[in-house]
Amino acid sequence: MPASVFETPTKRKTAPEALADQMLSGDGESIEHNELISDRDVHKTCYVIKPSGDPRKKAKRNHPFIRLDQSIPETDGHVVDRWTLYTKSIANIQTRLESLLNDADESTLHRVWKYVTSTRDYHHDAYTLLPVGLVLAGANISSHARLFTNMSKYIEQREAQKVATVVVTLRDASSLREALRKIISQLVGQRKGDDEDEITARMNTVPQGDQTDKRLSYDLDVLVDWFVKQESVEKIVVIIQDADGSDGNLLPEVIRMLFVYRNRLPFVLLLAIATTLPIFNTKIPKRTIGMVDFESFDVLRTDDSLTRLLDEILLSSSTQLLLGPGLFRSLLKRYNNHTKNLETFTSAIQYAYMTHFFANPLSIILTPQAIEKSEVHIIALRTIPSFQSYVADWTSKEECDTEHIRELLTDSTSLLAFVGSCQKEFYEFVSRQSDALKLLDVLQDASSTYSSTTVKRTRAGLYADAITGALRGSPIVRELVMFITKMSAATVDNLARLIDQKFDKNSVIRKMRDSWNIGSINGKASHLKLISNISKAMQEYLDANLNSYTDIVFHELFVFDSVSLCENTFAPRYRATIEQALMQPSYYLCHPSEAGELEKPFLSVAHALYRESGTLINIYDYWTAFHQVVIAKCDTETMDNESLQATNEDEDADYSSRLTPSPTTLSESQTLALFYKAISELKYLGFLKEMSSKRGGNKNTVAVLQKLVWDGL
Amino acid sequence: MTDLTDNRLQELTLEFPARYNQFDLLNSVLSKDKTTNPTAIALVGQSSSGKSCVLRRFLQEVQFSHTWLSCDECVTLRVLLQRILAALRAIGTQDPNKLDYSVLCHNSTLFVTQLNDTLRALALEEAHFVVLDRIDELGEPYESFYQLIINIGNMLRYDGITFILVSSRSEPRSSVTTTFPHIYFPPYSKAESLAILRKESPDSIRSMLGSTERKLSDAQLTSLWSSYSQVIIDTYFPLYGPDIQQLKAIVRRVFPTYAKPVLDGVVGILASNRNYHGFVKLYKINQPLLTSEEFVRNSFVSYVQGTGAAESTGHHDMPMYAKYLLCAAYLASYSKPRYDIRLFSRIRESRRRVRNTAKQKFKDKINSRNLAPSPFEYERLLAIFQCIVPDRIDSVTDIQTQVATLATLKLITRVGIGSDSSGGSSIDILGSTSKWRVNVSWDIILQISRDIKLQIENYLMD
Repeated sequence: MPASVFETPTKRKTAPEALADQMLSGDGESIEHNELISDRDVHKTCYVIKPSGDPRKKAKRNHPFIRLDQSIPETDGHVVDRWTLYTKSIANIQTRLESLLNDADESTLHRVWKYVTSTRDYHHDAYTLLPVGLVLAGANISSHARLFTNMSKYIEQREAQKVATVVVTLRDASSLREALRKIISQLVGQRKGDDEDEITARMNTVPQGDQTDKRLSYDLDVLVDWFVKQESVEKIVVIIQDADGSDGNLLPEVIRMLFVYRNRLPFVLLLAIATTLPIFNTKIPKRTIGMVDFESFDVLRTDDSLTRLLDEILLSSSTQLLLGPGLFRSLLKRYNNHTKNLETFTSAIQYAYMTHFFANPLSIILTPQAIEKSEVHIIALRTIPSFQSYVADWTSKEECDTEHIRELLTDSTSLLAFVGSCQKEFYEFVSRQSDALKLLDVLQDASSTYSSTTVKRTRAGLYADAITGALRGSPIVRELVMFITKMSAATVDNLARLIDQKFDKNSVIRKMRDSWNIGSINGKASHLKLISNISKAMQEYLDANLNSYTDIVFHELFVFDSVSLCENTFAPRYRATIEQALMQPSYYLCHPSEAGELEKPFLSVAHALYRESGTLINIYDYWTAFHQVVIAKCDTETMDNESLQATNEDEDADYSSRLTPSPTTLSESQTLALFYKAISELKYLGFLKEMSSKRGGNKNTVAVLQKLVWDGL
Repeated sequence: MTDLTDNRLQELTLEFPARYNQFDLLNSVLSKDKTTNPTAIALVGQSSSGKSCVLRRFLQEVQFSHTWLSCDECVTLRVLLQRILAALRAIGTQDPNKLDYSVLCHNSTLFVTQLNDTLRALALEEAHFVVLDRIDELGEPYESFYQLIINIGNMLRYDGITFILVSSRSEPRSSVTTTFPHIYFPPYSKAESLAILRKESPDSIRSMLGSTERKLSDAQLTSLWSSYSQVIIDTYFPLYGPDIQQLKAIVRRVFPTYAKPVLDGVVGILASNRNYHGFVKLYKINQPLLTSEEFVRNSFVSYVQGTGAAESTGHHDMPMYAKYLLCAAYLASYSKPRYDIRLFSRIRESRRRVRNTAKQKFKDKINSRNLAPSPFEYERLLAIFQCIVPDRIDSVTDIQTQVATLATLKLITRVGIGSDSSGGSSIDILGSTSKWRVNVSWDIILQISRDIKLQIENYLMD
């Protein structure tokens, strides 16, 4: 049946229906539609699909997890188990993350607070400068709000009523007036219960009526009066959250105003700097710098926090899920190259946990008793590659204990016991990795006093290599062992001290160090013997402990390593996606078609021609080419369509034919309409711009299209 | 009918060196009699040439009724006008310090009317002076107000008020032809500056060293201070000239460190002027102090370096690609698009020979680095970015996020209409046609490029 361009679908399956079917076929649930979506709805850009009333589905779940019936026929109980496991582990992590993030800020907050209190001793005279704290908070502006709200709370808590703080952003204040108005209204409005309400009430309005005080809301005298009435307040801390994001001269003006009033209002100004001090310095006039007495505070380097994150969350004693090397590498790369933001890093970890428990039905293995009675899980366990290769290795041995394998393959209880032992092995692996990495850290510290030329590699940088076993025998390990063999007596002492600091009394390394007997060393010979012993012990220890996680059977259950999932979630490639959609529409419009390859939409045709042309495209040339392609398509299409009709006349000629109307009957004007549509769609996508050109000596202007998007970016 | 005798003027001059003429002029122009005073008088001279303090001292001495208003405290003219009126209305009430803010004055015309009303109500018997200190530092353009004040005599129906304008800038051009009294304060010479610095009392010197200081006698302190002032003047006068405020601030900042050897007993100071030995020794110890820039303090950076904290304030917090993007933005702003193929492409250069005409050479003579950055398109930024990063990266959303962050930090700025970040404009900020401009200087770019080990000079034509 030939379809015309403006054909309206009648009894065929509509687009939303097809879409819904696709969506729902995924997880095996079927939902009926309330009614056929009307013709009018076809033109909508998005659809709401209302599930019809299946009574079984109405039982409300109080968790977002669903049954993964495609891989393992789970029961609802298993889903709940996975959900509880997830919530438990994530709650555990979150509290630690919270404390980690807060601790990272804590030291800065403390220093800033000390600075604020130290300014109390200022002796006010004509030479007093305005105290300014420059808080270098890092380029990650999204965390500034949290940091500075915390700062204001921290200072207020510790100073009881003595300090009034106010946090302002200059970005949304267009002038000095507005900035001052913000500061004043926040401060005056802050302490309710005083008789200041009437001032705050009309802070933002033009004063009216017969009130006696008609001062303007940005007059700092208002604040002076307020301050005089406050008996307890000794300091006014003004925190400017975006010191380097403000427009032009605003910040210097604010500083000047606070400076002018410094003798009547005891201001302390805290500026959040997201760039660096040299850059900030160029934005502030020297005259303004002359007005301030400043001190800079560096918010703790986040690299240290990253090491702590590794210690306390990824490799802690309660770690249940290890981040795989690939995933960790990509997260670290993103952190260094793009974000420098600890919060995004931690949210990625959370996402990894969520994905693991959501999508892996075997993730409930963390509590083995949960699947004791579930035969399906037992069967699934036996299909895991690491288990299969374990069995293969075992049976390929010459004198193998087939009984053990037979038990594992037939008896569920022994399999579960084996899983339990593997789990134990995994926990041991984690703690040994953690210790080994710490040891490498300590060795590097000890050797850095020895030679300062080498750059220290952080634990976070070594992590991925460590858990894959790539560190065993690697240059860095060899170098460090080499360093041990050259240690002087003082360095040995230093190393021993560092080990005492960093390691528990019960740890293996501590025991190793206790056996050194440093006190009994006298003479060169005994020293040489000692260091050769140490290096041998260290070498053995590192060789034994830096093994790969793939050695553990069932490691697939304990290590989550899906790189692409996280990369696509957090940093989608928007350009590549759009380009692919235009070049290979079949990738996205994957509609089963009897005719084999799907016909391209006209937008794609226009885009293909677009890619073949130069920076300026003559409209007429473009149209001619387009027309030719469409006509050429038309010829082949006619044949295809005829054969199609002959064999199959029902719904399958369908959706795609409406999307790309069959060109058999296309007149030139219809093609032109399609051309205009394609061009305007390209324009809408930002590929093209209309312009007129006088090129080639022509006096008449020629209508051309300018290409805007560069290729390969 | 002057208020102060010549003897008194001489005494005041001892307090304020080299300001006899100014006192004399003030004394002859201003008087208590409201009929003889001009309605406006201006005190002009460079900043910190003693205008305000001479005037203050004079008014205190003659005990004229006056109101002192610092214009730099007023964000807008409305605040200033309101304060003038409020202060005038408070005259004669029980508590003159409690200002009456019940009036609000929106513009100068209204001000004249309200001033007339106020003066009528006041019915001044003696002259009243309104000092508008630092009129040039009013938060808004002050020129029209300045002109209003000097012409206000024609508009007032009641006399008795005199405005004293204190300004460190030269008169606005519009008022040059108006005749009204000026008192000029010439900048202090080196000798005068020294005399002013030396006038510090032993008590205040002692307070600079800390209130607990009791080791040195007054005479010793004075001797130390006098030699010290000479050193400071010799060191810093060429830099600051007659800016006495700055000199005083520096004197205060340096003194505790300078005097430390004396307090520690390393150098002995005698209370006489013939103390060359001790002075030379002290000078030698303190020589590094006087050559360092630590005490000048006009930059956030050098001061930090002085305390040795510069290392920790590197660029560690910027993500790596943000640095590359910033360098790319600089290159896009400072290299011309026609050189792009030569600079960034691997296509052989011979493909295009540059026409080396004399005309062009002349045009390009100014180093482009000294010119304002030119705008570039977003796509060009991305293209250059791709050329300078060591490994090929896809256009992920993170790159856009970083461009947005750089824009928020004003390291790159948007050019053209709708550049406000508050939204409202329908133009896509990260659309391919949006134009940008780098907002960072060459020094900083150089520093950043060193950080990421990028030889940025290779990509620049000059």
